[in-house]
Amino acid sequence: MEGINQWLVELNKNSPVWFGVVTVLTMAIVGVLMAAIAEVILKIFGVKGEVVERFLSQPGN
Amino acid sequence: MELPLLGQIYLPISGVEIMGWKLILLGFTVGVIGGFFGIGGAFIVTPALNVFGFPMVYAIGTDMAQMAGKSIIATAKHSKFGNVDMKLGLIMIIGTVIGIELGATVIMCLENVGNADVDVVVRYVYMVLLFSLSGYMLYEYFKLTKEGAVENKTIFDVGKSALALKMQSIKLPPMVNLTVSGFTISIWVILSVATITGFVAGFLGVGGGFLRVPALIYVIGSPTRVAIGTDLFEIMISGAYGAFTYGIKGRVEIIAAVIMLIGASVGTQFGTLATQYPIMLKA
Repeated sequence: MEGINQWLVELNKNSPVWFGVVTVLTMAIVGVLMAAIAEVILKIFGVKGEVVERFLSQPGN
Repeated sequence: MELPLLGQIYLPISGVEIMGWKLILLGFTVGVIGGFFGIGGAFIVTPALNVFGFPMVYAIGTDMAQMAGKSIIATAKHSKFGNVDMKLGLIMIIGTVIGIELGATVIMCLENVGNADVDVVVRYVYMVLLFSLSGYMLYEYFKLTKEGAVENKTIFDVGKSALALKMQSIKLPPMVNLTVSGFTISIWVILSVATITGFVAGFLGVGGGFLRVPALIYVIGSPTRVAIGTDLFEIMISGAYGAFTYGIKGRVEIIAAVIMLIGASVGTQFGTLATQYPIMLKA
């Protein structure tokens, strides 16, 4: 954690554009990862999401 | 034994020390609210981070970053439910980007002017906006409840407001046919709404969802579910742009944003699912 913090501080100071790029990429990767993990967990523990999706795919909904 | 991310964390870019569990709880809360209302939740997160000790500009930038990540999760979920009008969202992004850049530039100018207290200015603007918006939505709620009582039925969607019908009647080309939302409208109406909400977003460091969702419903005339999903799609793109802009300006605490995102990813699932239950109840 200390190492990552230090690296981010240096990047922020020396290369603002790359810091901006790293910010966006980090958020995107973590966001996609968390979405995937959440989907897997939801599927393991319950089918509520699938029930809603099946309902919505029926004609008239 | 201290659990990682839950105890005291030092954030060197902003120089703030904070308990990790506060960031996770904050992220979870805005995840639920954001997934349900289709907003970024920044009008909660930015002031909360400021109260936790973040300088306002760092609170704004950090929130933009977590919002970008959280919106990916929520948009994917809403897209599965058919709530995302990508054509509308992509057009709004053009106006939003212009607005955000203008808003961020104004806030940086305020920061550089010695006399201006950015924190105070932003707080006052927040208060005026939130009170005005909540007042209008309360009025709309009571009006619909009364109409429902008269007609003896429960109203699930606000329908098209008089303002939205007027906006849709503006025939200034090019006109855009929005198949998911179910109407045709002038591109200039969409761009104007997006630029104004984008400016407020850039200035306050919010996604603008708390302005844009009502604007999509009451000014442009989108169905509520589509307004929610489309706005989340737009926040995903504009949040990423805002995060990049504030990142270049050196005002993003990435570690704090990632920790909040962990909480938000869980909360978003519950918030998003909850939007679909009124439809099932209607059946």
